[in-house]
Amino acid sequence: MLKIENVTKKYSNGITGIENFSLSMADSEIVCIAGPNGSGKTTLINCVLDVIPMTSGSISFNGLPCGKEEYKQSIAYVADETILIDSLSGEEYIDFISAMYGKHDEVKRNSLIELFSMQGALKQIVSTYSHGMRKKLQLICAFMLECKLIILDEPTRGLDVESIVSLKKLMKKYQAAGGSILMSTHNLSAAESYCDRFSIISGGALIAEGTAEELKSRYDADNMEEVFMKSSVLSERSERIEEIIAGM
Amino acid sequence: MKEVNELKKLLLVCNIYQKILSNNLKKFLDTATKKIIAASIIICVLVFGVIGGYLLSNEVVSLFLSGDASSVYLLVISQSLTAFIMTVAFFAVFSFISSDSSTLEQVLSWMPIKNIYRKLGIILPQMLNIIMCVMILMIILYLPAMFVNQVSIGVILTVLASSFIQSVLSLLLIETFYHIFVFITYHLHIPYFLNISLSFSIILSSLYVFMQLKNYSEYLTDYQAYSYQPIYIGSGIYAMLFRKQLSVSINPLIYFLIVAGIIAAFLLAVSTDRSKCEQRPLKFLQNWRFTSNKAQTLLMKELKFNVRNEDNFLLILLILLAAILCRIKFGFNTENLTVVIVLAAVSTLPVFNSYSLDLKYIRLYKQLGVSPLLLYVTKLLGALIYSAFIYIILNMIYFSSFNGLKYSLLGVIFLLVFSVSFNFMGILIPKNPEVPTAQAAGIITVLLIILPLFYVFTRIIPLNHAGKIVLTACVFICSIIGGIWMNQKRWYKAE
Repeated sequence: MLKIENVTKKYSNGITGIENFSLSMADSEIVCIAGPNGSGKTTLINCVLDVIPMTSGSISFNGLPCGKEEYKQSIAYVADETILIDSLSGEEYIDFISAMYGKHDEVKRNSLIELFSMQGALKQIVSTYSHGMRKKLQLICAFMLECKLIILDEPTRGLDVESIVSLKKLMKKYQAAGGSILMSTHNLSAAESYCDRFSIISGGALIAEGTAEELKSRYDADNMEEVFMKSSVLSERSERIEEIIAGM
Repeated sequence: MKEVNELKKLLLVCNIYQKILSNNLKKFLDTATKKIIAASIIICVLVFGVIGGYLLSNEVVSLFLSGDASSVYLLVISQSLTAFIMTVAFFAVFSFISSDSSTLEQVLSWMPIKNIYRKLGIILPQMLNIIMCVMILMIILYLPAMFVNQVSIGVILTVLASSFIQSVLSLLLIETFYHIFVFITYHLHIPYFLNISLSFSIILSSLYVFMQLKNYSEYLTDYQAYSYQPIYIGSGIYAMLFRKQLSVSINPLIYFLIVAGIIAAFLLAVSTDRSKCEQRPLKFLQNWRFTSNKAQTLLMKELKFNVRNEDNFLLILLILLAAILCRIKFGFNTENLTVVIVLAAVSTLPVFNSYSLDLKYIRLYKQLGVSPLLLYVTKLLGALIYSAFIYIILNMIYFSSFNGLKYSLLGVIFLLVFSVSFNFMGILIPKNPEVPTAQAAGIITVLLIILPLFYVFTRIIPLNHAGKIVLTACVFICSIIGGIWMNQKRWYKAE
């Protein structure tokens, strides 16, 4: 179980990334964090990953405090910015990640490579990959590690339709096997079909939380995009957007 | 068991770092022609290095070696000093041109590996590369002379071992200071704190070398009084081994405590560094607004690019610190034309990088309807204004009286010529982010060809004042034509 309790991150330039953010995630749960650009989603993910130190609060996973090696061993990550070591070949990159986590399931690895149709590209150097191929490589690594929690930051961005369909099925299979996923996405319509719960964040604070149905009923909305507009962007901003578009 | 796993991960990171370097090199040397050129350069450097090294060091080596332990010890001291200086120099060079390891650090930041092992995984191969360079140079410089003087293998190995220890300990010290500076500048919220810390550690080490060189003869004459100075700490092992024959007053306990202290301080300093996650870019010239005039906008963009570029920032910081030190130490001033010419040359160094900063945006410029000539002119002008700004600051540092003003004004001509020529060099051999050493190597190769040619040419045709002006004008015009031509080539190549 992932427990985020009253986490605050203030950057050295005085900007507050997130403030008093709390969230609990049960095992086998897929939670989506949604919020406008600059709302603090990536800051939150970086705190959970222990990439940046939080100013206050606490994070733990299955009782392991954030920062401990065992904690990091339990979490896999797919970054939004397709951060990869460009000078390695796809195969070398996968080997490196496997070795760092100490996990070598050859069958699973090969199945994932085949699932994302990456067999032909593995010998190539990563810097020659397209955005979608880089994303696929990250996804192969994340699901290959059999961690208990996977953090996905915009997992479908740049993927072709076949890969998106495969990813959704893979996520469901992973969930059924007891894994949890914390993901951040702007594609809320698609997320509605596979996320158990949504946390909407704005200005670094948690604005709303619940299942898609609960949120839709709370905000009297037909879909999650409407919920998002009403909750995170606030209704005044929503009206202003209408005015700007009308005036164009 | 857990620590063994951590050590395995450390080795894995070291291995991947070296793999990145070797893949980058393979990618750079992707054609047979490039491989042949690289091999030829290496062979030439080795052959000339061995001959040059022999000529340089034979006298020193034969002077030191009279056969007894004390003469070998003096050679060991001398080589330890050389190794320290070389280590500082290579640290500076590698820090400035080394491949960007930030992506590897970023990828490792969320992985199950302890902070200290993550850092060491990147620092250790970097150190290994520096030590390898130092040792290769020491071997090239001293080995031929030692063989000619029939020095025994045992002594050769001892001398090389102390140079190795010296290089390792020197690097540990420099790295310690670097990480302490990073810790301080990070907590003081200073922008570009990594580069600032790097500059401080390089300058501090250089300053220490300058201060200690004064005592060089003292170390040799009073060799029996061992002073535990970092500059020749590698020689301590030899001094301890032959303590009785040499009558050196060295206390092994103190020596090993100092060595252990250096290692402990290094590990402590590295483990405290958790500060690379936040970027703090500079926002200089933020209030300068772009206009509807395309040329003016491109020029302003170029200036913003230059002043905010981290490499330029590091370079200028180093130039300014070195300039201040030279002014204090040697008393140079603008009343000397040679000093002014050097200031002009140094001010234009950032121009080398100028073109490579924009290489990836050529497609964007095409889309925006910018012509290659307009891009060339605005980039050159921008780099020139930037260099002029550095030149003014340097002249202010070196100002002593109004007599030097005429030289400073004359220096503007040199500034102009250097800017245009360096700009041409930068277009000819743009910086490759994956193989940063390539640009430096390429420029050195070009200089190695041009300078002897220039020397021979001026010997055959001695130039008077007018001749020199004509030659300078020729260099200026050829560089502009060459720059425009190469810029056009790169422009149409970037499809």
